[in-house]
Amino acid sequence: MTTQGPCIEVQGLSVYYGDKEAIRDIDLSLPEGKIIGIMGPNGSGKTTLLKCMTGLLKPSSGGIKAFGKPLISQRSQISYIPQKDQVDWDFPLSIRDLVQMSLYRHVRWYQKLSDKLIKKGDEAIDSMGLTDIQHTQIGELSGGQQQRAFIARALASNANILLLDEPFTGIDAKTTDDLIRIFQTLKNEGKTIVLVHHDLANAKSFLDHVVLLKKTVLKSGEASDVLNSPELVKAYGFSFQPCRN
Amino acid sequence: MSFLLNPVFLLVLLGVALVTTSASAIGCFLYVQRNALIGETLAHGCLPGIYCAFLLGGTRNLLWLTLGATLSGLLSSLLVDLIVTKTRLNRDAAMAIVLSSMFGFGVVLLSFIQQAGLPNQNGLEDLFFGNAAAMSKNDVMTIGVLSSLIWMTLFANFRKIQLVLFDSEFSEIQGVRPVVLRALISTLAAVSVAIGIQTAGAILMAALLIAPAASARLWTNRLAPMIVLAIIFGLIGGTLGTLCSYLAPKMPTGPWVVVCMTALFCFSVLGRRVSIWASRFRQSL
Repeated sequence: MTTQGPCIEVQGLSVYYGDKEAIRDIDLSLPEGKIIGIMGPNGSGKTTLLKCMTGLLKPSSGGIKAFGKPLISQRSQISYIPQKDQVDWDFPLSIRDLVQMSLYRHVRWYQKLSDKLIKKGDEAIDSMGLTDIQHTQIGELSGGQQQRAFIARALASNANILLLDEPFTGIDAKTTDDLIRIFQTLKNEGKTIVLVHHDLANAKSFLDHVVLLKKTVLKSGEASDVLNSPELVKAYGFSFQPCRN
Repeated sequence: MSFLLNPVFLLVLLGVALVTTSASAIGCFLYVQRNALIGETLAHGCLPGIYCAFLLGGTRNLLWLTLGATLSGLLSSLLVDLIVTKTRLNRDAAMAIVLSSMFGFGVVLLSFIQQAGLPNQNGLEDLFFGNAAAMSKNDVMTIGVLSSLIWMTLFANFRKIQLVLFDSEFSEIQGVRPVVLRALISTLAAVSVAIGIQTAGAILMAALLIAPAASARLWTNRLAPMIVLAIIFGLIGGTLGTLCSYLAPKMPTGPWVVVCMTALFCFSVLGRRVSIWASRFRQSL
């Protein structure tokens, strides 16, 4: 396996909501082409850190670089997939509409999407196995299909870094395994997947890199190192023995 | 049926059609924003603006009154946002407070105008339920210009608005500014309500925004077709309502338009049910 350079570098990042501290003094270097899990107990600042990486949340201090350049200039490289309960599933929108949303920035308001762009969207839909149901309204999809539709949108937008907030919430074990396989395929294609993850039981089986968070970074590194480290006890307040690998 | 060729009837019909179609289109965006009741707040909220504009200008010129109505409607919308962000109150409570107090303020201003015996005040009391039959050629021209502006702005910004309303965080990453687009929708909704006050009145205007959108949503799962359908429902409701009010003399147009739109909504609910039963029946064969 070739060693890639960092794709995201976080320096001295702190975020306060009013007087309340969300995260403080985060220094991180995340490798490119890996599946990276941001883990930690509830209220440890995982979503806050992820939102800073999208550029949606302005930090109180510190900064983030993507591919060695300021994040703001690299936003087209990044796609964010929100938590399931943040999405209005009743919105009148088909999978195809959802995916094409990421393509409209390439054309002016009065222009139609070019054949090339439409093909790009169709390829993203196809790569997620959604072609047969591309005209289905997003609320009528299963949990796994909904996640795949959002991943297709991220792929159509040409993003190299995919940020996902708790992608396995509300989906069953089989669909979780299917999604993990998709992440692994995307990783093999050179994409970097950063996800907020809760389940310690399956973390070691698919995460390459883990950032253990509790307001600040307790440990960041290879998944096997972090998930066997004493910092895990410090984060969760108990030791954990996974029952499956 | 000779009234069908009467220029006065045709003028009112044109005015009502312009109001209902632009309200139906903007109503779809309010519907998907889950902000349907803001139409009620805007409609009640624009009354003080209309009467203040009259007091300041001493005229019933529709463009002048529309300016007052739009500003006052936007102020109501901002007040709702302010209450939600600065207090523990929910949005529905904030809207209930703002719409009733603005309406009350409007009634106080109207009473003041009536008691002061100011000239040109006839017809100002019609703004509660609307009086479409009193539309002049200038009024319809003003409504036409403003609806065209609403149309063009919606058409030019459709993709951005859809993106912001569905996923404002993704839209920001895509370089769209959600705050600007949301302000644009509020402004267009306020203008749409302001030009419709003469037709449907402050009490009924919200129905013109939401009834066609709700009916259309029952038939389609995509936003663009939903808007087209809502416009068709708005046009049919507006035309039928105007016809009814002419067939039953001395009946106001606005309430008839709302009744016809409600009938279309009931037809959509039933029609949708029937089409679901029919498709299940076909599948079972």
